[in-house]
Amino acid sequence: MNDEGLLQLEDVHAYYGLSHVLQGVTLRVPAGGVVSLMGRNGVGKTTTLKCVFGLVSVRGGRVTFAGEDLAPLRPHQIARRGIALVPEDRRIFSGLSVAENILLAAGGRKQAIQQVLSWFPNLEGSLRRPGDQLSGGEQQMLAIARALVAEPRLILVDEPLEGLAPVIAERIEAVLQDLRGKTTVVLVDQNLKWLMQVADHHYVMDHGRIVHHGDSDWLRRHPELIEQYLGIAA
Amino acid sequence: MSLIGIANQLFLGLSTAAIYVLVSLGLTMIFGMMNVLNFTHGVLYALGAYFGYLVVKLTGSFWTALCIAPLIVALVGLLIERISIRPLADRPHLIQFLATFALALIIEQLIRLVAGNDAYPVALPAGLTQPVSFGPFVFPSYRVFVILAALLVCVSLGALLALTRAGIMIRATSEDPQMAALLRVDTASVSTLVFAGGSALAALGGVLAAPVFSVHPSMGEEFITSAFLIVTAGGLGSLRGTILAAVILGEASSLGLLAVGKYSDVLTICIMAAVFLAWPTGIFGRVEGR
Repeated sequence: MNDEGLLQLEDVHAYYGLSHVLQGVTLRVPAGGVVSLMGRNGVGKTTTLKCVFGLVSVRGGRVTFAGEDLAPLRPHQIARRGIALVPEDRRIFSGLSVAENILLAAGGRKQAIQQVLSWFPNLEGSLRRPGDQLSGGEQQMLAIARALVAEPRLILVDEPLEGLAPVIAERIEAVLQDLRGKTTVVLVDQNLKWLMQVADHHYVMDHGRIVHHGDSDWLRRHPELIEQYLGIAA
Repeated sequence: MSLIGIANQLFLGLSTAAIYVLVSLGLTMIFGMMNVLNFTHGVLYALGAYFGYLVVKLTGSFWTALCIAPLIVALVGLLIERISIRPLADRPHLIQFLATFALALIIEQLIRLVAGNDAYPVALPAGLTQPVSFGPFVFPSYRVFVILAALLVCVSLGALLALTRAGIMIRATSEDPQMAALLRVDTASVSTLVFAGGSALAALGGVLAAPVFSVHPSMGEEFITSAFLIVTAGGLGSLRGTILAAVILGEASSLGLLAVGKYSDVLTICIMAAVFLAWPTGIFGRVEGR
């Protein structure tokens, strides 16, 4: 890993109203790396991703991307710097067709549709369908495709496999696996086995803080941490 | 009443609806995009009529006025969006309503200060002064033109929204501005442009209305109530709902005159009340708010 991360969060504090949800999060995502963010529900993983885009109010600390402080930038400016987010709830535009969702994300580049079909051939028959008429799996494929067609330098993916049929989950796993070495990735998911295969480095969160971090081997050597912070037997 | 009399009244209703459509489309687009109840929309309609009158007076050309007045009012709209709408974007509707209502009153008083309280007639444009015949039916050609102009605007707007990249950005921003921003859309600029476009549509309605209703300071105030009724009955933010509700209101008002004379306003309100009873969130309204 490089000393200087592509994305760095330094002692970030964030609030929802009076609730202090992030209490000094520090993490570093190296260029080209795949990093996972783990923890039980409600510990602040999604909020950490939102902080990168300034979608929650950061009242302390710093978020930098390629050395640039993101605080003064608006979300679209941050996205234009080369960061993409696949939100947990997918947020597909229901009033746009699948093709329009892709074109919007690709800045109008029509070749992007063929690119998406090469990743997710299942979407071919749905290009003209409105976003709200897709199954959960199709929506997740579209959400990931929308992020990828922007050709980001960093992609933040929140719970990509949650609630998906195994065949769809496998396809999405394969596409995300294929990003290794091409794009920097931050993954939030509950599927520990998969995260340990795909990610180089893992951050474990609890109560709005990073409590441990290390590589997959380190995680395998500390099953007690997995049980304590993720609630599952390793 | 003869068939020809009813057809004439239906036609007049349609031409009034055409002006309602132009004004209300802008209002509903602004609401759909920015979630703001913009009470200045009525004075933007009036400003369009006044600037139209001024340009006709200076150039002698109604067609020049039809092109220039909406552009001027679009610039006024940009200013209003910056000083009044954007700072209140996240505030409750009541605050937005009061702020834009106050601004509308200020602009109306400015109009009175500059132009006085008199009504100004605007002559029908050359070439549209004679009636046109369709078989046994004879209609004023200017009103035919107004209907065609509104139709052209509706088709162009529909094509813009459905077929262009700008249209996709507008629809996406209107549905989920935060997600649109995450996909690199400058949603603030999109909203500003939509506000300016909506203002221009109100002004276009004002210029087209000037030869029919004449130009006077309270014309915006009179029109804004109908425009709000239309966009609410159509379903806030829905373009097709707005068009349908404008036609219902225009025809109800016109046929009401035929059926009950001076009580036509009562009939119109009753019909709109029936619409709300049947569709509480408007004909094409969303059940859930944003």
